[in-house]
Amino acid sequence: MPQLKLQSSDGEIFEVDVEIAKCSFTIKTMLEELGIDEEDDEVVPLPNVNSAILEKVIEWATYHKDDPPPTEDDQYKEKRSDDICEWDVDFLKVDQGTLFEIMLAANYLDVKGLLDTTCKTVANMIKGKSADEIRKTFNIKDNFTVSEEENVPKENGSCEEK
Amino acid sequence: MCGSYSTNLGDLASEVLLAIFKYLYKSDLLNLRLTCWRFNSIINLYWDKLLFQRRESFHVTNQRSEDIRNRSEKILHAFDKHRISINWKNGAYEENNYFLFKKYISCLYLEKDLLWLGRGCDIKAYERQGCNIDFHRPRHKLNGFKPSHICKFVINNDHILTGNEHDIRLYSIENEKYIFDMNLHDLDISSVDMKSELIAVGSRNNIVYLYRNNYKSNPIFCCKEVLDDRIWSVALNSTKLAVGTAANDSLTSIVVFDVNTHTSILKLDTGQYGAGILNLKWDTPQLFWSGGYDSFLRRWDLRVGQFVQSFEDPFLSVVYSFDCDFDNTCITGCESNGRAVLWDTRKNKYIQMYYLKSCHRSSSPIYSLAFDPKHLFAVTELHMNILDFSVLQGISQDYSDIFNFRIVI
Repeated sequence: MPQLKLQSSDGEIFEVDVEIAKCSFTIKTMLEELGIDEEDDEVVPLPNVNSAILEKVIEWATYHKDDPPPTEDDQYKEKRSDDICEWDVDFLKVDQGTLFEIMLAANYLDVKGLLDTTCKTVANMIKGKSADEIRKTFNIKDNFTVSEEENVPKENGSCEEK
Repeated sequence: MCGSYSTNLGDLASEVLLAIFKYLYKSDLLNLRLTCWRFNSIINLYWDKLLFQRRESFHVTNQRSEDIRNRSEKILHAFDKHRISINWKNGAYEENNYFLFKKYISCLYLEKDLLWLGRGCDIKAYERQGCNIDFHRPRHKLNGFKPSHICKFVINNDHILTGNEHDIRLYSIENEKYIFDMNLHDLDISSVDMKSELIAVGSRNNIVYLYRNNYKSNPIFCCKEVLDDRIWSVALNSTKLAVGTAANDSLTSIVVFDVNTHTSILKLDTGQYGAGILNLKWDTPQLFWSGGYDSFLRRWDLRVGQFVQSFEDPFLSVVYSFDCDFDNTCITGCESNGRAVLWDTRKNKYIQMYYLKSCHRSSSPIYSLAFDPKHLFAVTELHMNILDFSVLQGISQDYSDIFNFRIVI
């Protein structure tokens, strides 16, 4: 199977199957538009992704390489976050920093499936928590002043009807 | 402890945050909004859209097409869209019915603030506020029709075209007068349609006429077509005319004509005799809906020359009338028991059925129906029923699963 070389931000080079690399829409487009041939011994630089994260992304893509592509029906389905597959749950048992970096990488590389599964994971971390608990969980600095907090629109009347 | 991470939730791009937020419930979004300014502003900015992510599963309340917006009182807030959509789905509504005194076949047309009702000798427009209608003081009244026939009419460009026995008439709503009243002796008119410059007239004696309308005097004759069967319905779009027949003497139940060359470009059939088409409605320039005696609501595609979707009535009843929102909702009116059926055109199974009050004992078809995001208006031979789905607490009459009951002996 043809291989492709990916270079992480810290200079490490990963050799992956082209088909697996193509689950990144960014790389797929790059290959198609730049016409990089598989035989060319070119290295694709990924300056936004470090080696630890790139390794994770490749691990995920390798496991999911045979997943069926999303169908049109999927976009009509209700957005649920309780359907993360077991392998992904284990795979994403990482610290928050790594999780968010995987998200940044998935977004940059445009790996839709990975972005979805990480978004669901984070959504599950938010669900059912109060504002204070959310702040604690994610270490969000409370940057509202008291008067500002009063200005936070309440549930009704927050949105003008268009 | 969390501060030690190099990357935080706040470091994510807004588009990624939105991708997370779309999985959250309203209550979570409200909490999240209180955590920091950035989340607050993102959620406020995309509030509608975030809740809209779920609208894909909405029924009736999408309000995406211009047509449905033109008959809606206002654009609903996302909360209301969600709530009212659930009412449609669960069959939760309040119903009013009005006794109409004499048995007639009726025809309805719904506008933002008016409800047009054609029955018997006249066509009247009643002002409406939501589902409140003042039946005593119609805003417009056209009378003098012969009650023996259906008062079929179309409203377009502030004009009403009516077909009644042998006459077609054009009425200017603004000037409150008739522009023409033309007798077509050889026709027993069954249906009319009007689209910008074009007028089509279909008849029970197999003839279709096409005219050009100048809105000043009698329309100019374009062409005459004679089909094999009596004609039940005609529908125009800017370049084509679809004609629905009774399909008794030939299998062809729909013929599509090009209005510029006056030639038939397509003959469509459902494969059975007697599958007459009672109603036709254009969806896009290439697609149209049909409903009739074959008990199906069908969507036809001119590009493939056949129907591409079909929705069979759960009780195999004739589809007497239907209305759609030109998005993903259709409602059909059936032959008996005053039953209307809600369809999501992305699903094969119906979503809900509504049995109109006071029709249980009579077997009247729903002759005509119309809906906006909050209400369903339907007429049977003796009653007009208005179902209001915007109620906060309605009694749910759920018939969505009645075919799943098992009889255990």
